[in-house]
Amino acid sequence: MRVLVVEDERKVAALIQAGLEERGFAVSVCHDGNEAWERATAEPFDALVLDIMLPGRDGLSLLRKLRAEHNPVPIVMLTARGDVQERIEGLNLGADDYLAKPFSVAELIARLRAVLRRRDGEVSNVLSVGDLTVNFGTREVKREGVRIDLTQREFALLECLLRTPGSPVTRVEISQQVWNHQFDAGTNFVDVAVKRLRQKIDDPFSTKLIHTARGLGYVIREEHP
Amino acid sequence: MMNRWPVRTKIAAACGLITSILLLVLGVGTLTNIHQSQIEAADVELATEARLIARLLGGGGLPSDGAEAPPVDFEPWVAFAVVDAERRIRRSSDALPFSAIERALEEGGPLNIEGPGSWRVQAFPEPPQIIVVGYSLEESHRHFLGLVFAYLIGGPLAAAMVAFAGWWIAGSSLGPVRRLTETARAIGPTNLHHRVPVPETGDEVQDLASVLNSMLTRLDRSFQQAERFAADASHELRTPLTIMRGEIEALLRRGDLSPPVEARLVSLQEETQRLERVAENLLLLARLDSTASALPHAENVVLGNLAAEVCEDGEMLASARGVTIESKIPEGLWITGDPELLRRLLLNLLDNATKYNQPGGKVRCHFYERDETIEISVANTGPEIPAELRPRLFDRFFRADDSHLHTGHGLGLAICQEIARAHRGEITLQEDSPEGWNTFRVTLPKRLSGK
Repeated sequence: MRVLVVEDERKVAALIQAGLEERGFAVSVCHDGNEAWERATAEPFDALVLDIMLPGRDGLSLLRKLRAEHNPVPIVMLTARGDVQERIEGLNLGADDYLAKPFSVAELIARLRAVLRRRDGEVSNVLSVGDLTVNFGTREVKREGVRIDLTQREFALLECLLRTPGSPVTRVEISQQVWNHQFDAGTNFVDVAVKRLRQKIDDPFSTKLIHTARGLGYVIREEHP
Repeated sequence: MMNRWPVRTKIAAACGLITSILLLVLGVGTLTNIHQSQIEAADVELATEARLIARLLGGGGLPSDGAEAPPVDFEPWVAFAVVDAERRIRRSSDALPFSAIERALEEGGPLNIEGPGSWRVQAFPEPPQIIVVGYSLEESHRHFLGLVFAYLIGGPLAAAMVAFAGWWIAGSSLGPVRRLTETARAIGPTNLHHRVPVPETGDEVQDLASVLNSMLTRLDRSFQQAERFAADASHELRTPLTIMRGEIEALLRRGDLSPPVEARLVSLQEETQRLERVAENLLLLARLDSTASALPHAENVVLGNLAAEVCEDGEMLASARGVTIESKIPEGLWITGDPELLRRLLLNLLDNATKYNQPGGKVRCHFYERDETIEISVANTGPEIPAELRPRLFDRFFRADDSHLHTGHGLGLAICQEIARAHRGEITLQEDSPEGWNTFRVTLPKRLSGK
């Protein structure tokens, strides 16, 4: 999978690059809108990560130009502004997803994967860990074939854990991704939320899937090592 | 009380009052003077007449009884009597009353005698006889009364006219000031770019208008700067925060760190999260400040669903803090507004209500549907908010306890207030709430007017 990361902040670009490469993506980076236009039209990329504020040509105009030329490459927009108007504009112009800074690289990767899955017409929106299967399309959760009803928040929490199965997610990441860190709840709030999720996902079953990573946060995996 | 009169009324009243006083002084003075001159003229006349009569009667005493008096042709307002040494009236014109003659003989005069008729009389001794001359004051009195009457009617009339003139002139010269006031009143934080009209009159009003405009320009500039500063600052903070967050996450993900290092990184991550929240809230406030009049993303929101979702979060917050929450949301609530902002408003209130509570405390979140509005009451059993802190509760960066025991940053209620304002509603801390609970009450109109 080749991804072009267009981001003028070099450190942010480097972080994204490292995160993506760690997960097996081939990453090219450029820091300037005009250069990005040349490379995006010359080379075949599977996806673009595109910042909005760029020197040369800004992200929105780059997006507009690519779509005007019927270039279907999946694009995830990044912006420093959480402005809804800008998000709507970006999505209307044909961006596939949108992420506001500050974002977590794990989240970006999850979004990127989702976008790529959609491009491939991959209908299987199903993820599974052990005997737990989660269908992100129908929002159906099952264990051992038994359907489990989750509230919206519980589902979002499960989704957050499932983004990186096998590696721990910190409490801060959970509160940011699930609640968009809207309140200063402190971290034991996350513990309460996880406890509730466990009551539905783990407690009725003999194998536990959600584990505590001491000091760090939580991890979802099939077996405790 | 007069201090509260409009300038126009004050000027009119002053004009009327001053004119009245002037006319009164002038009138009294003039009338006294006229009266005095009339008397003096009468006295001169009396003396003249007396001399004339004396001459007519001849120098050598009275003619004998029955002798024809020389013809005396007097003006009708003059009367006389000739009295001898024994005080017998030898001759008299009929008009002069007997009582007047008697008093003149006793007192000499000149003096005023009333009734019948009004007379000025004086006795002139012309030995061996005394000539008493009377001058009828009827005519002068009529003139005098006429004058008094004219003053009584004309004076108030003149005062009223001057007062009206003052009122009119004040009104017409204050007109531009009033228009200035109206325009200035309509200028608020949302339309600081508006300016008041400058009348080309070259007077103080024009001066005032241009001074007002330059003040508005300065105000506008500093408002814009403050807004832009908050927005720029939080934008600029986002990039380094992204980097910090990413670096910390990358380190944590390596999985080969010793537990103490990991713990420190987690703590660092928590602080980064706090910074992010502050930056985000500042940006939100800046955005609410700049769009205080309009909600760009307003739509019809099914408030019931939104509230149920928020209450789910609220319950989790509550149980994390050992607090129980009870909510009551009627069916079919809807409202026009920005769903994200409304969610934030409710969440902040529930967050506060559970945070500033005591272990085992309670939170009650009730929604009420009124005719035109929706009322949300969020009450908690936390310690009572001291009266002196209440007015500052909605200030930015205000903390109720001034300790850093709680993790809040003091923007929550300020944001609630701005969100309520943006929806043309309000938020208040209810005074004398039942059972001594701290009760925040939000009132939001169902429809945004003008939408």
